[in-house]
Amino acid sequence: MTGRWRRLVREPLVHFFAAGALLFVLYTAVGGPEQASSGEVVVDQARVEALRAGFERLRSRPPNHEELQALVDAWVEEEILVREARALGLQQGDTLIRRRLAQKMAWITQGTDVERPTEDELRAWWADHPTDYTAPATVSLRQVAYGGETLPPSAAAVVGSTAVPPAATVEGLPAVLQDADSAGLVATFGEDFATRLDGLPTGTWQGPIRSPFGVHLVLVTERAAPEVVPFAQARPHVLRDLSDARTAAAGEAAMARLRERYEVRVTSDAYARTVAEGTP
Amino acid sequence: MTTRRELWLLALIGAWGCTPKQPMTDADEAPAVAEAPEPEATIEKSPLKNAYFGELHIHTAYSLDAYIFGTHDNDPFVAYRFAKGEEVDMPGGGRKKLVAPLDFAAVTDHAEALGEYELCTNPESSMYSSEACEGIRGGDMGFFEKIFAGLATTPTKREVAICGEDGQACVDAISGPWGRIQQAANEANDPGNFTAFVAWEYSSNAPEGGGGMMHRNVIFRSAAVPDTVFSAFDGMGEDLHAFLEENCTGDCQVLTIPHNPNFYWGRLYWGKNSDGSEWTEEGLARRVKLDRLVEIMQVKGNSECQKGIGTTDEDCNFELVFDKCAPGENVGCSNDYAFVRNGLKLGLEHQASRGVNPFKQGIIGSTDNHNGTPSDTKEDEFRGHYGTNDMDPEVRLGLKANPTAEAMGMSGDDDPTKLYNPGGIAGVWAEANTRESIWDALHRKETFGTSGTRTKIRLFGGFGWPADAHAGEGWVKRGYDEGVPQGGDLSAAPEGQAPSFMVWSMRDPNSAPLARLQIIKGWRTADGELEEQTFDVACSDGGTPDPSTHRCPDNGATVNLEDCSISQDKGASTLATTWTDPDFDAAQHAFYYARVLENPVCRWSMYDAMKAGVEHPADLPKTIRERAWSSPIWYTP
Repeated sequence: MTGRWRRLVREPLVHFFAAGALLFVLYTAVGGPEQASSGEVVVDQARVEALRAGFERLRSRPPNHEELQALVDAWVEEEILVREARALGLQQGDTLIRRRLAQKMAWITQGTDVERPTEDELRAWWADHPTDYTAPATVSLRQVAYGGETLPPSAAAVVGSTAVPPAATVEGLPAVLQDADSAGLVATFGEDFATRLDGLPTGTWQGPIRSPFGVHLVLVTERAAPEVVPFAQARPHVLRDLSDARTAAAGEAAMARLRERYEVRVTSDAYARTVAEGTP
Repeated sequence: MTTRRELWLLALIGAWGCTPKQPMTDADEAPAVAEAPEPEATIEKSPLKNAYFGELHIHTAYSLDAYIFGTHDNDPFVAYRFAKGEEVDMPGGGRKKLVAPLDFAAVTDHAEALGEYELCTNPESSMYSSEACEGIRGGDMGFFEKIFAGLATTPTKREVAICGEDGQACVDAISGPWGRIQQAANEANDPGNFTAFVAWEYSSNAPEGGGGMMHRNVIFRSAAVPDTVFSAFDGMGEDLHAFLEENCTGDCQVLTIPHNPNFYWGRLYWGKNSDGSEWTEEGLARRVKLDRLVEIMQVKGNSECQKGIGTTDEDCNFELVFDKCAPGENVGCSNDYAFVRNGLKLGLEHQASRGVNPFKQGIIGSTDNHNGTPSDTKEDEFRGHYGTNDMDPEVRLGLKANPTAEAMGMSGDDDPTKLYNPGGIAGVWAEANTRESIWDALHRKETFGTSGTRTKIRLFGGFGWPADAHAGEGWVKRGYDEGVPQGGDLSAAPEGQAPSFMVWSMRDPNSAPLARLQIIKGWRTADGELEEQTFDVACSDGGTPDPSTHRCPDNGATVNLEDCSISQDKGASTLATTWTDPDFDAAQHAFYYARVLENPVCRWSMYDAMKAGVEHPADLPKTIRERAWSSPIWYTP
């Protein structure tokens, strides 16, 4: 396809005309204008007021006589078109209309506010979900980086001891890390280094530990186990999580109430088989 | 059983229904129980400074375009959580987290349609049920076109169907989201651990259209900010500067960051106001005072330089979006004013002829993604940047139409979005991770930008340094004591001495090793010519720069295109040197900045082609050489 043709196919206006042509065919097939529905279009006071209010909301002033007349005319024509469209069943199978109706209904059905949690409820949620409010394990360490593939002999000599190691040959890396969690270790020294620290003895120089910067001597000075964050500190997160959970639960409950009123009957054997076998 | 989608729908609608739009927090309630944040004064400062990485350009649901693209749940609060390392939902499904938390971030939602966003997403607004708002909530790209097209008309006009004839309804509605943007930043700010800035993006369109944009990010130092935002509906970029000067006073301090010089259609560096009118003295002074930095690289392309447009530098052709403009052409192409390096050179000319340099900008990188996921830059985890519009790899690869590009008037063969990339990252050298320290570093331009990795780069300039000044422990202290860091100024060269530069770079442990370190010099000759030269100054794998070509030998690093693995034995973890300008003329205006190139890795498009099971498009590069740029150091005679 040439670029120009491709562009034409993507053009919304082209889609519009194509859809229009299709509708025209459909329309004439079902009988044309003389056989379409007819009847009364009522313009009552409530309708006029609604149109007037809509105008005012947008323009911050009431419509004048001509503007009001134009609004009413437009509404009448829209009403007629909507009725004609309905008579043709154009709303059937329109996913946009379907989705919009579903949205509106879901909205009305649920309709209830999600209650703001009390302090006791927040505390209970915090106590019931300790893993969500646990600070990760941390490690404090000293490290000396030497680059290259192997430790220099003078550095290898201090492994297992607390002796002073030879000076680093790679600079720009922190010599001391305080209370670093896994994400912090990965950011500074990469994944492999972070993984290697697990289970490394504390209190003496260990190595070689490899990173993208070469080999290191590492002295783990302290480890802190994962710890549940005190409620006072965790409270903003607890509030957010419990509120989210309640909103989700309210949605689920509303849908469940609706579904209770329906029986779902699957008439597609193929689908029923798929469900039974758990295959796609 | 209820499907996931239905649950999501119900939950979402429930959340919109009767609860207030903002997340439940203590802001409107009893005093917070959480412990008081650490006062900034007690936070330890490193006088030799640390590198901090962050994002100063990110859009969330509050940017109406992002919202229409399908980013509904990732608001400023969520964006900061992502920046701090939490896992969050992606628009279009799935969850994502950063490889490591960021040090700082500023959510920069478009100021332009904050009111429209509020009116269309807050069910209590009278416009909520309007057709326009339903269209926006339904992702109708027509409304994106209409609302953002209103910015291109003269005078600009807000969408009547939402804002009313006089636009006032939308102006009035700004206060809600503007308040919550501040709230999100102030709550996320955690001195010593994480810095969050109050910010917005000013986004005016170039009058030529074609997706042209003349945008700036507006970053505030503290919680003291103007009562309302200034958007393209209120005036030009120059008016934004005047607004800030008038409305950001007292405790309020602010800087602005233009981005995408490549999309300005030349209007950033052309030597005039953005509407083509002549500069005024006051306007120029505001530019110098406020435009402290420029985004050299982001999602919508690299804006450093382009071979054939004022340079012969081979390494310029990197993640470029546009071809060079044909004679007489100016839109959707690269012209002489489209690049940071050319802007820096033009700045020297203004300095010489006017005594003021309006383009004395430091360098950062950013994403500008519209998913609410700051610094989400990994090539192998790219998920697009336009909400659900480009969540499909085939859209990103240009094999299917990109709705965002089409709505911006860049459809079919004119759609450049397959040349986009996951974006860059901002780096600063600062004493501590606090608003004061990091903002001050931004302000003094002690910054760097990367193409998306966390590579560090550091530059000092001074006189009389020996060739091994960079080696050994005290070099940083020496840099500060005897010279100036990146973003600084040199002048009054001692008789017979050329400036020396200590330059150092360290790889990102989660990306590829470094290949070569470079210094780019720009200068103005005695007869007013603007020149430039790229010098390789340190090579990996034992190489030395060729004295005549100033190039390092190729280190031979390769990428295996079958599985994207890279050479294990090539490249360096750090590169450093002390370089003295061999052609220095103390009478000439000049600038110097450093650039480091990494070994190549697979580009996002390779990973996408694998994910989609399609042939990699022949017109896209398969690999990328990630890189970092330091801010320049200027020499003024």
